[in-house]
Amino acid sequence: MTARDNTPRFDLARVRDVTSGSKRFWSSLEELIDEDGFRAWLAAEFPAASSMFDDPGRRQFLKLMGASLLLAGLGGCGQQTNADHALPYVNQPEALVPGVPRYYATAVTFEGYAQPVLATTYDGRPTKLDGNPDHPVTRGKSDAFMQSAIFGLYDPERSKTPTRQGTSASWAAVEGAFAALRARWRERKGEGLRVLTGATTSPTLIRQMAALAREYPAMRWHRFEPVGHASQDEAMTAAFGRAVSPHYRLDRCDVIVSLDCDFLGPGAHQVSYAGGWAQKRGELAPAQGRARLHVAEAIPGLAGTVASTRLPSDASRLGALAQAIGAQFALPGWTAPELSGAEKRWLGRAVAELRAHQGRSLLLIGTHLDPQWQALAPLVNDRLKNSGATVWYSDPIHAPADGSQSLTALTADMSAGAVDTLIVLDCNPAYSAPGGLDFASQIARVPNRIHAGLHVEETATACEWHLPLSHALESWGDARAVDGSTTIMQPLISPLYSSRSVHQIADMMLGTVDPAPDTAVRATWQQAFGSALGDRWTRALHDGFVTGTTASPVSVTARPPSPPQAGPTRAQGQFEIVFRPDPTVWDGRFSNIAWLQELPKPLTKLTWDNVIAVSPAIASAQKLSNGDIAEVTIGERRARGPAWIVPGQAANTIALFFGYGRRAGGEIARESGYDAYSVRADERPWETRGTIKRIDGRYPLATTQAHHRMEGFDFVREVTAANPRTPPPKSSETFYPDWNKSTFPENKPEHAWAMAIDLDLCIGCNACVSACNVENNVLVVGKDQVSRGREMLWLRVDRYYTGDAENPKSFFQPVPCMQCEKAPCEMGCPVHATVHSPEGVNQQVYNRCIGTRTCSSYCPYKVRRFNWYDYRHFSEAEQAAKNPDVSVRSRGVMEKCTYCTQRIQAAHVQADKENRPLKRDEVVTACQQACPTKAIVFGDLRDPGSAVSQRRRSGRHYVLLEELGTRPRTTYLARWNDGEGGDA
Amino acid sequence: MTAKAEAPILPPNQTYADVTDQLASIPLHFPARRRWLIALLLSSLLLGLLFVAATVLFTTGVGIWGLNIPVNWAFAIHNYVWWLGIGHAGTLISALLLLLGRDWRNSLNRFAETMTLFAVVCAGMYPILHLGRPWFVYWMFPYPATMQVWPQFRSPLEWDIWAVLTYLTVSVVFWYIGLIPDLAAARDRARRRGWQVFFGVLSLGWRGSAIHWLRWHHAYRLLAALAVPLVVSVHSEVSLLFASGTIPGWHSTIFPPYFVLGAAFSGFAVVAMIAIALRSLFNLQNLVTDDHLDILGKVLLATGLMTAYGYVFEVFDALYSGDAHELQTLSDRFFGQYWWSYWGAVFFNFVVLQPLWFRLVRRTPWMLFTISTSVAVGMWLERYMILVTSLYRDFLVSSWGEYHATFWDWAIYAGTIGLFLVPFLLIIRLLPVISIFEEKEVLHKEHEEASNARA
Amino acid sequence: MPERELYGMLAEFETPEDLVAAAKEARAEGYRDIDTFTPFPVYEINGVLQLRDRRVLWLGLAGGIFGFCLALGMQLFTNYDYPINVGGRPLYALSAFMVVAFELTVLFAALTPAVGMLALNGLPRLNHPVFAAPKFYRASRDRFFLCVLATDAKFDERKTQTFLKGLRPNSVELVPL
Repeated sequence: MTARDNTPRFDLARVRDVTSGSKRFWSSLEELIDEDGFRAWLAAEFPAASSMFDDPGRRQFLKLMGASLLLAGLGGCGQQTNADHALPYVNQPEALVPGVPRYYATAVTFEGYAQPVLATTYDGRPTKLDGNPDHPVTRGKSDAFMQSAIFGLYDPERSKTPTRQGTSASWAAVEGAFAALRARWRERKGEGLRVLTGATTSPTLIRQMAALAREYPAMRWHRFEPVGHASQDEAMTAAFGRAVSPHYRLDRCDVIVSLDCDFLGPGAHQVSYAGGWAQKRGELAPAQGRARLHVAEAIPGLAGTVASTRLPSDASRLGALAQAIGAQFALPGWTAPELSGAEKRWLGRAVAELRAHQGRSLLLIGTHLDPQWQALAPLVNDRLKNSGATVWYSDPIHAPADGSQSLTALTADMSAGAVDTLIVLDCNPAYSAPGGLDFASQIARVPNRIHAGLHVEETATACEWHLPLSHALESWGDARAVDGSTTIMQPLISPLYSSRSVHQIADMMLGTVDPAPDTAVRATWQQAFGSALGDRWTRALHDGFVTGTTASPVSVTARPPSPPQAGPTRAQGQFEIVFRPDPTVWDGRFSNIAWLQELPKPLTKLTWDNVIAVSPAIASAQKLSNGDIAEVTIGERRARGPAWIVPGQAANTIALFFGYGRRAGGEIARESGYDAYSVRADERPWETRGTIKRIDGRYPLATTQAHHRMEGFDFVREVTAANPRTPPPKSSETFYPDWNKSTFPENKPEHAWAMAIDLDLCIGCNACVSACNVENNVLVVGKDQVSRGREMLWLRVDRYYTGDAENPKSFFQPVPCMQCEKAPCEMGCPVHATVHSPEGVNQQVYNRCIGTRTCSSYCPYKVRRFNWYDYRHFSEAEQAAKNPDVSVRSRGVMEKCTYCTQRIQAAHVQADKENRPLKRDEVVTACQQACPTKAIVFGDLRDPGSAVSQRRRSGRHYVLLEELGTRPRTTYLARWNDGEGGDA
Repeated sequence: MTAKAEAPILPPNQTYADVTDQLASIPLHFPARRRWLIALLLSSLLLGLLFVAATVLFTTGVGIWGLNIPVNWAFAIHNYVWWLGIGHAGTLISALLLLLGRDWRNSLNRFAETMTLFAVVCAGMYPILHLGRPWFVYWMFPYPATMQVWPQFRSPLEWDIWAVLTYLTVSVVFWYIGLIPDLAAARDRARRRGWQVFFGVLSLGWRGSAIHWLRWHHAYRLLAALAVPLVVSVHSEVSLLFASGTIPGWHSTIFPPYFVLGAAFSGFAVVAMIAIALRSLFNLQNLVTDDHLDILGKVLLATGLMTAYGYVFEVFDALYSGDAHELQTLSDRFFGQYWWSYWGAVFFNFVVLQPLWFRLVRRTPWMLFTISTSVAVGMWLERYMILVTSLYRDFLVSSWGEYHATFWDWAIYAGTIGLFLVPFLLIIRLLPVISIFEEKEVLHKEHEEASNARA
Repeated sequence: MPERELYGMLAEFETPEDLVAAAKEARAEGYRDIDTFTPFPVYEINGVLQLRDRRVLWLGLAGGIFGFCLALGMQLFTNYDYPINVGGRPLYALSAFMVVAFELTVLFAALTPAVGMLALNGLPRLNHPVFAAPKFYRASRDRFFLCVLATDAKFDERKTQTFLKGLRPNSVELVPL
């Protein structure tokens, strides 16, 4: 392990060199723990732990504790050269202070891409992930998936042991099976051997697959992502004749025009694109090159929410718009289609601005559109001289797959009986394959079926063998971030269960017996680093990425795309149905993570379910209201789910969301929703035609915000270039003298904490909410409680819209505790359970609270949350995920945002230890840390130079519900309106 | 009403002896055993329900109620207000009217005070039941805690605890002081040993000595003089529980008088109900006369109209403030999800009240009883309306919510009715329900007036 | 029989008016240790017997003052002892403290006279000589009794009896001690 903290770094590599392959070290933790030596040492070093030790009920916890001590031990014994001295150690090294967090750089993966993280670990337990601040992609920022990955590690329903036909087996048995299979493959030269993985960027996996192909030439490696970039690859190939990965420099864009490309939406690129956009957008005044954004989209996305102008547009019309753009740029054979008035207006404005800002503009065409339209973007951007300026291309970051390597081809071969062995690595086609392929029934024709995954999911149940995979935080691996830079992923904790990494399993396929966790990765980088392995390896682990691996531009020129065949037609009597990944559980890979289930979807604020999203027009035509059960018919196939009316969804569009209706993969996953894959067609994966009808009956949905229309209030304020300032804050007179002055003139607090949230930058991505949940041990309460209005979110992102439901203007407003200086809640509490700190934080004292709920009744912002029951029902595995610096609240107490008071205190302690005042903006709250657009800023009001003080001086500064005179410390910056109604 | 007071309120054709024997015989030779037993049985069932519900509540948490954020107060608090309000009438009748020298109150004060006691007990239950961690309720009292923290005396909840406990104590003392002479009378009427001991001990050896009466008189009057402002203060504080919050629909200066009058209103209604019930149960028409009902009817009408004024002023308040959120709340009350609670209150508290303008209605027991019942219901709806329609949509549109009472909400409420009825029934079984000696005072007065008139 | 064995002599009357008249005459006769027992307060008697005792009221006042000081002191002290900023409100928020102060004022102003009244009356006292008088049970019903105590200087068994008989009571009886 290579630590990121103020302790001296040590040469992990050498330790690892000598310990690698040592069965004693890795294979069986229990074995170690049962040793008397360990027992004695444990008692000596960690009395608390050893007292737990004898309680059999605590065995699981002990595993974790043991694992952490194991790694902590490693952390301490950097100077040791002999593996035997590595564990157990006798003298506690100064490097390891129990209860003091250590930080390690590694990555978790998403659709094969690395999400570079800096992980916080307490006594060897990873408790929080944040973006790696040194990494060019994340720059310390994160998204909801990265934040919640920690819950994936501690998911108590992960598969814990290999199984054969559902009965548990040993890894030895697995290797036996592989040995037998290898003989088969050898004699058939790999004929019929197929490996199926998700999209991957891992050099090691690619190397291993290449090795496998060398050994068994006829084998084939298929890749399948339910969402992925398959159609983009197709489009790029069409445009450039070869697969490339586009990279957008949104920080250079004055104007962005997006056809259904939600580049701010969830996904592997969210953090980097949101950061780039925000950097440009976040200027102080208009007409200072702030990014203007024109979006046409079928269903409301995050980009559409913050757009200057937004045009709701059915999928078919998006095609028409693309064609019109093509015509405007006089592409041979591209004829202008019929456009409606609104479309003409939007397009005219968009193209005009594109042209006006040549080299500083960008046309984006969404990967959900037909590749023939996507292929248009590169050419137009070439014409606009944007290529090389606002967009550049590199060799594909992920391993591109040609048609023969698709899931389609695999399924065809399976049904043809051409597949003898199918090995599915960390991929779940039995659930997520398009219903049209009927993969689930075809797989039965394959004689030898092996599945490796984190859960016993649909595919596992369809396979003979299921092998438990180690979580990314438990295993060695490597992956490339969206910019191509490669992260060597190091384990932060020894595997909780008897699991192995993808690379170990690949090695087993290659014939290695009981492969060590790191040999494969190490071998890959042996080649890359050569003799310098030791240093560069350590360096890479420490930094969190391998320097110099960032993708470099390739010079390509776009070919004029072939004119569109038969221009898109309006659907007659049918509706246009689009498929989308779910914003919180994505394609289903996160559907067993309770926190992502309870995370409100950005625009609907729904939790725990997916819906059939219909436009207001369709709803009124079909007599559908929220929660009515609707049946969507596409060709032969039908799907039933609850309808939900989405203001701003294109008039003729119905949207289905993936990730729900699971049949396996954990209790939480199975609980809710409908399966959208079942009606998905393989040939038209993203948009199709169908009908919808209302079925009798209703489905209970749990939403955290029932009412979205702003009702004429000014909770979210707007400024325009003509009128760029909010009215100056009124001098809110009060009966009461300044408390600190009047009461304790002698001890004047040197800090006044405050937060300023720039609503012009907030894209409602939920990163802050998830970060808050993890940081503050906010508990999951479950669908039933959420539907009763009892969600626990300390920080919520309110979503409002104004205007007509067909094309409303949407707003996001993160609402943490306002930390009012004249807090109404405090004077309501009869027992001093909520009081004010000298530094102005409105504190909640859990163990003093008796639960009168007066504070919440009096709170004008309703940011307080109450423990109506005892919600602390979590497994011991989940206990390990809790932040030890924050107490877990019990039944009957009120709780709320505290400005991460534990972080403020930690900073104070650190400063006191170093005998210095707090540095400017030293304290960073979890939400601020996560926010990819820097919309949230926290700091000290007494320091005029602090970021928050600067924001307060901005002309857009305003106070929520100012007229109440509560004097909040949390304030807002108004949103720029530079679209219709406002002005550029 | 002064005219009424001068005309004899009690039929003069009865002697001290008749009154004494009639009233003292109610506990000693109890009439209407069967009806009383049935009533006791039914109310005991309700009381049992309370115990069940409270057990579930304490073991699982307040989540069993329909509460949420934003509506994190509902039944518990508004029933607390409702019960307390009912209680107030008892005190007003016996204290205020005593000071005003209204003789007709002498036929009502005893059971009115008794009603007060148990209404306050019911009310007092709720603040404890509704706590998230009821086992820590003692943290609301100042005691040298190990954490060295004290209660927070700026909180209306803290005020309430002191107010309610004071009110309960003073009511009990006032009630008992007034009871002593009658206990003595009952003692002297008792023939069976058990009763003699029972009343003998309770009456503390009262013997009606002149100097005793003098001191008793001072104490009783003083208590009365204290009880009146106490009532006003108690319910004013209850109203501050809401008015101190910033929530639209709560944050209004009209609240204290509005609440006090509403309290008296509901209380007088319940007094009327009890009076009618008792007088038919024990054939007390000679002591609780039609004139009494007539007066009660008038008082009810008067307080009802004052409450109606409160409604009007609330509307004016909102309109005059011109505050967007106040107006929002106002329209929510009129047309929102809980419109029925507002219009229900208006109907039961105002519309149904109007027949009381007619003498006939006031003097017809069943009519007065019906109207009183409707008032009790109406005031319940009003408290519900004030609480829920303000909370369920407060300031931020995003946190608008809904409230739906669960079975357990209702169970606890019904249970408190049992908690009220059971002890009340026991009291009327064991003690004189009407003040004997004060009735005799009235008779004495009337006799004097009669003789003066003759002379 | 010697006097000390007597409590006094009890005369029974029909109406309060008769009682008051009788009491007047007894005073005129020079009797001072006189007591009356009535089913309800007959206030004229106080004047006749010249009963004057306002201590109960003074007790009430004292109780009130005590309660007020206690409450205010408690609230001021607790805030002085552990000062916390509560919603920016003043530490010594007198306007808020007045509420509890008022409540405790009332509480003690009510308890002291009540308890004091009983104490001054020597109650509870479950037994008393007059209870022994056979007719006395009507004192709580409809009879009004005049009692000349044996401790009176002028008390003489025979003289007093004849005097009382002279007042035309329903009955006269000796009350043994």
